[in-house]
Amino acid sequence: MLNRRKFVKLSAATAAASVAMNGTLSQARELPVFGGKDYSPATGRERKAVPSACLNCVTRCPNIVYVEDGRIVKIEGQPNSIRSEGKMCAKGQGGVNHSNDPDRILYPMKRVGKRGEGQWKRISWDEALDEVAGRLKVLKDAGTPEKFMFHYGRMKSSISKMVKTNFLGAYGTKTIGNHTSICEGGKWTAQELTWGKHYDSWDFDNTRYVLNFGANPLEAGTNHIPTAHRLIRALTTREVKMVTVDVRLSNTAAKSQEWLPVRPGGDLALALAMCNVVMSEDLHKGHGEEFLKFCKVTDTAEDTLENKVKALKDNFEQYTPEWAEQHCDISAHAIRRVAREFATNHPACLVSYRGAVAHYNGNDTERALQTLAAITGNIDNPGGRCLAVGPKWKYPKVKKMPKGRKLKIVDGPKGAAAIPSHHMSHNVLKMIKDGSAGRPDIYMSYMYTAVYANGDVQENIDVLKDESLIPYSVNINPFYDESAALADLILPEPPYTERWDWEDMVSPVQIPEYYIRQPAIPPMGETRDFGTVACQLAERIGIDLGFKTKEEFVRLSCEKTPAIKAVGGFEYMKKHGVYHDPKAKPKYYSYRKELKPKDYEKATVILDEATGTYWDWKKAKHKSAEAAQKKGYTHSKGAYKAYVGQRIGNKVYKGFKPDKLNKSGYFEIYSGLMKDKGFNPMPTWYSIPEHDKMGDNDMIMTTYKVATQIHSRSQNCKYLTELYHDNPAWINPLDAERRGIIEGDEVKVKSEVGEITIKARITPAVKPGVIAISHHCGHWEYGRYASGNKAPMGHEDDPDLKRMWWKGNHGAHPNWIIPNAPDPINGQLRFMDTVVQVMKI
Amino acid sequence: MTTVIASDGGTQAADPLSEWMASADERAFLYRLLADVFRREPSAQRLEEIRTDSYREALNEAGVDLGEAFYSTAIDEQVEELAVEFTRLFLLSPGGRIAPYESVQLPDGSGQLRGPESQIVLDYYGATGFVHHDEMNDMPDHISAELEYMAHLVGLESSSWANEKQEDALNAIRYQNDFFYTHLSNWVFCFLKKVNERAEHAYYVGFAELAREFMEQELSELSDRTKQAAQLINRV
Repeated sequence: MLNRRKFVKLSAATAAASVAMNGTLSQARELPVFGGKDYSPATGRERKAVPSACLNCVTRCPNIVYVEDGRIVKIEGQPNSIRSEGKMCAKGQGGVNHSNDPDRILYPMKRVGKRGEGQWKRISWDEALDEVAGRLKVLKDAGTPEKFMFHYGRMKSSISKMVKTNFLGAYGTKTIGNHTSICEGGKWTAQELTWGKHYDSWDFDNTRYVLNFGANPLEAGTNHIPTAHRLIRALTTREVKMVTVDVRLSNTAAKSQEWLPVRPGGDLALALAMCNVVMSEDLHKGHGEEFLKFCKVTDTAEDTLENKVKALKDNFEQYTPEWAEQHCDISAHAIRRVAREFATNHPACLVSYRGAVAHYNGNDTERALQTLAAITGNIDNPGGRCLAVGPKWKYPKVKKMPKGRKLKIVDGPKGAAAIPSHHMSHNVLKMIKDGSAGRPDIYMSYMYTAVYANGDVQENIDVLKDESLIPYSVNINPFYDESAALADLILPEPPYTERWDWEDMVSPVQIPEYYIRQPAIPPMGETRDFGTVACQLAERIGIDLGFKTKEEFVRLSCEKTPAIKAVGGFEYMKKHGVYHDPKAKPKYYSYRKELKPKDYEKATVILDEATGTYWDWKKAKHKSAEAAQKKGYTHSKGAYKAYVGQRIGNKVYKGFKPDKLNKSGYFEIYSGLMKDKGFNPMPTWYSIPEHDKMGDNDMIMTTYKVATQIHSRSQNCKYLTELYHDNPAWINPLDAERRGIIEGDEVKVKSEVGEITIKARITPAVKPGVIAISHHCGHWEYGRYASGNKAPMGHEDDPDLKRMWWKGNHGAHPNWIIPNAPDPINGQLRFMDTVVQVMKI
Repeated sequence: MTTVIASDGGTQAADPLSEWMASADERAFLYRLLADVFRREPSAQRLEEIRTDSYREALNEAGVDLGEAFYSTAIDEQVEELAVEFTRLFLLSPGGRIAPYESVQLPDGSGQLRGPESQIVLDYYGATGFVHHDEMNDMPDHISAELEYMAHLVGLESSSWANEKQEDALNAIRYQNDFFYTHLSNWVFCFLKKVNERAEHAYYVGFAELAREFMEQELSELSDRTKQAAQLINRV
């Protein structure tokens, strides 16, 4: 509320003096409702406003799409969203270009020449569906549904439930690949090992201090705008201090009070040393000590606080700031100072992302960071690092599903990663090439540029092109990307501005927000939402899903979800787009909830003495309590699904419920699962083998994202690509001088898997020894705005094509030279580890 | 119930809605006052009002001291002095005036009088139901027009609270927030700094400083105001 003390008398005196309001403005009509209205600058007519949701990135902000004369002309934020508060990033606004992209695919296309040759013919949907369904039926009838591989990139919420849960579940294939290992799979696995769930929500509204390891929340991120605008508010209006650890001066680092230019992969040493400072200086006392009650720190199910503190001190003792300085290039003095600031400014928020995690040692970096937040009492508290809160949609499900079968090709080669709980998508094509675990007869990809988005691009192309390795390839896509170009059949999907969905992304205010996506205009051409196409395929195969279209699925979900039904169901959501319970309170400290005896004193619930975990042996598919006891909770496959609660002292708590791994309900700083796999159970230093062997002339290549593009699927948006289409490599002046490179020079960057040519940008904003190349650029397909290359089905109805001043200047793609190497624990693609040689051409 | 400072400077217990209404009233008057200061040179009547003891005390409490000379100079003489000063600062000056327009002052803007920014501001007024009258022969992005527009919006907020139209109040706050951050705050500080540096008369030095302080307060509080108002409505 306004601080009124200073001006209050002046206001009153001014009122008394009757300051004339002989101004220049008069109100002619009522103030319209803020947001949700827009007018044509040409005609003054009000534009049609459709409350919907973005999908240009995974954040999926609620938006409002404006339509004028049947064309989508503008997108802005949804002011009634508690997540975005009406804010929208450039990427979201740039989504307006998808619908009107002249290189958009509008009809089903079938390959007629050699694969990859670019020869196509238009076919009808009936032909396309008959062809795909016919092949699918053959595999199903032969009892080999696993030979149908479905590989997706962006598939969340309703489309995931329709396709993955229902269609693929009912069909019987579990050969389902995702893209998470090139994204944040590594971070998620490390979180699952510690607090059970994956995903952390950063409570910037209530924090007093932000410590950021390798994230760039002001430019990108999985909850970008909902967190970015709150972070800006915290920094500017409350003067919250932010310290950013990054190899590069990102815009987030630039807006921080302090940038710590860390050595690539040295984040782990830094995090361990900060834990050392906290424990050796007893800064854990207070909030951290209190939280330790809910932590597992030793191999004993229930240990004393004294023993827990001793175990922490013992583990981190070796990681002194002086030791860390040798591994991360941050001075011991700075490490101590920042660690103390973080520990004593409670609540403080610990932020991390791929810059810190996409390394060989990334799993333990995230575990060490989780530990740092834990021992300072900054877990799931107001202002801290919180468990994700999102809406719980109910949706239609097929009742009887067959037991699914799968080819073991989604987790990478045997032994490549110990706990790939989010799979190893970047190794799928490599596994198909290898063939030892079988190969799919049908490879279908959805919103996924497998060729472009993974490392080792040439190998991806070689595999996808080879009909002996992949006999039949179907690509579902609104645009002609690098993977579509190598398909046998393209099923055209409308872009997200022409689709239905319900959405469920995490809320940064810890109150769930329900929202939907609805078409602002009808799908153009003959494009069809793949949710609906999946229903049509199912029908042809003889599977009854119980719904026929995506719209119907969304409508049924609205009716099945109590919170939405209560306010008017589907019709309410169509009108308003978003809903949250105005009486809901933010959800913090959920782990502290005490269970009632009736919850864990059931006949099928037993206590696992080794972990203190209550679990339901029947849900864990054991035949008896005795059999379950004998096998134990930790070693019973899928036992996490049967978790009930965690005994701590004489009480049973909800605890930190596991999601994908059989961890206990403790916050596990000590991980028995890691120990079982032969790793140190406590967060531990691992150096990066390739970095240990670097020669004097070697550099480390790092990658990053900018504020105006998403990773690989936005370069067709002309507004965005006009802003960012070239990506010169950042090189520190010291490295440039050694190599005789000056600003704008063409340089060759070479790794063990290939080489690229790129322009040089000489800047001290990157750490010496590091070359930084952004994603997004260097497309060779994706239409004229992205690559200069017209899609075979492209048309000429966009006058801006003639105004495209950046034609021929599309930047370079770093993935050509990044090996598809995984983190040995979680399988994450090591985007930030590549050793390269850089030379002037 | 909370205790708040009332408009007469005393204290009173108020429910949250009355507190919001009082706060909006006070802000609206400040916006009007400042719009008036920068719109035209002060008249004799205006100066007489400002020179009363009670107004002087109110200005002092707001941190503005116009100095003894301001209160002792003959009114006619002061009217003349301030007309000259107003002209020198904002209308024409051998050393260059401070053009009080967003299109001219906006950092990284067009820098042009009646630049594209002027039309954007005019469109904003129009889209929100306001008509700009150009009898004053001035542009819609004149500092006084933008301050006046804020006064209107804050006034609408106040009347909405008074009429228990809480959604309307929130709506008006959202527009205040949007206009302030999209337009006014992006150039007003730069403008006021120049006025402060070039003004020779205590009147403009004092009111420029008052405006800066008030704008800074708005800058730090307006974004939270929307959130707090939404929370308040949910509570009520």
